[in-house]
Amino acid sequence: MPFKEPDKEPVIGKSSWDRPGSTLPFLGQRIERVRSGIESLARDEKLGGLPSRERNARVKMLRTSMQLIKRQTLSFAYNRGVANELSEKYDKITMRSRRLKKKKSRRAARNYWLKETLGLSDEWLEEWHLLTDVESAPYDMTEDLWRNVVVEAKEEYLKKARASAPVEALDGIDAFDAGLAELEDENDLEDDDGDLIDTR
Amino acid sequence: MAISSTPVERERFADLSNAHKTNMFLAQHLNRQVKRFFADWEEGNIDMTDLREAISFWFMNSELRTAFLNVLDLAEKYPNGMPQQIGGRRGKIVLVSVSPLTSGIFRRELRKHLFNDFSQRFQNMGEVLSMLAWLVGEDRGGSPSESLRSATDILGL
Repeated sequence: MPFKEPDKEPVIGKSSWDRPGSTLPFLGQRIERVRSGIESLARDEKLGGLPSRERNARVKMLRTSMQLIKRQTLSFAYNRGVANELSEKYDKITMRSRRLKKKKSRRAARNYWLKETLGLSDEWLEEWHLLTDVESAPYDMTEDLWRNVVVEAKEEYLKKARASAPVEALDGIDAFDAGLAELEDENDLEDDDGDLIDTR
Repeated sequence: MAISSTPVERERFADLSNAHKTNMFLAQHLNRQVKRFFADWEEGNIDMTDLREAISFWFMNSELRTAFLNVLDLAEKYPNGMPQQIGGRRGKIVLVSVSPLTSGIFRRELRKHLFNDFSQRFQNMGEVLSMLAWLVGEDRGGSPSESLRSATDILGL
């Protein structure tokens, strides 16, 4: 089934919260289309392959759609005050995804997000990575590597600071760790898809 | 640099064809060269130029090569350390050294990916003598063809 973007943009933002559930049908529809889009793309690719131009166009369209889903789910997650299941669900997914990105890797976080939000099975997740890894690898690799180097450098700095600090100053140094985590959040300008800016 | 083969190596390669012998010998020599590079690194005897040269030269996978070189470029933007705020929003700004030369994680990643790259080169794609000879070359001065000549001389080919 060829993938097609929905014709109309969803309503995002506070106004949609005044009408609880108003974005839900659209989100569900979009998720379903992305999921079936990934599956049909992977199937076509397996059945003899697609011209790279067509494949790239379809991947790009799917990614754009994923970003819109991400935006929508974040708008749910950020409105924690609204007590409904969706808000809780996406808040949990967002938080867990961020933790994975920090503690494990960008890839782990992305996998988690794709699985939880889109409901992709392991098999389709693997197919999706096979389709997209080639073009995303250098960027991801550089960013992951650089992030790791910087985090390690900060940790080394803190270790040295801790080792050379007088005993009475050690309480203050504990705040460094908290600061480190906070800094990572502040510097985290991209989400798991690599494009959206986190404005929280 | 003089290339020598040990009796063990000669015995190990005895049953192989001449091309295979030279190939194996050069592969082993490359292995030694890479190990020596990492040993020198741990002792602090290499600089950014050496590191850049090794990455540019050894990686077959262009994506990996680009990624590692990108990190070197990023690090070189902060020769005196990268300004980082430590201790929360009101914390102080400190300069943190982000040099890949002192980064354990960078060294481990480079080692791991180089190993994978070499493995792939040998296992899946095969390796022609000229390519290996070029990679091994002479450590200081000399040409790859001299290296290959000396390798074949030593092996009695």
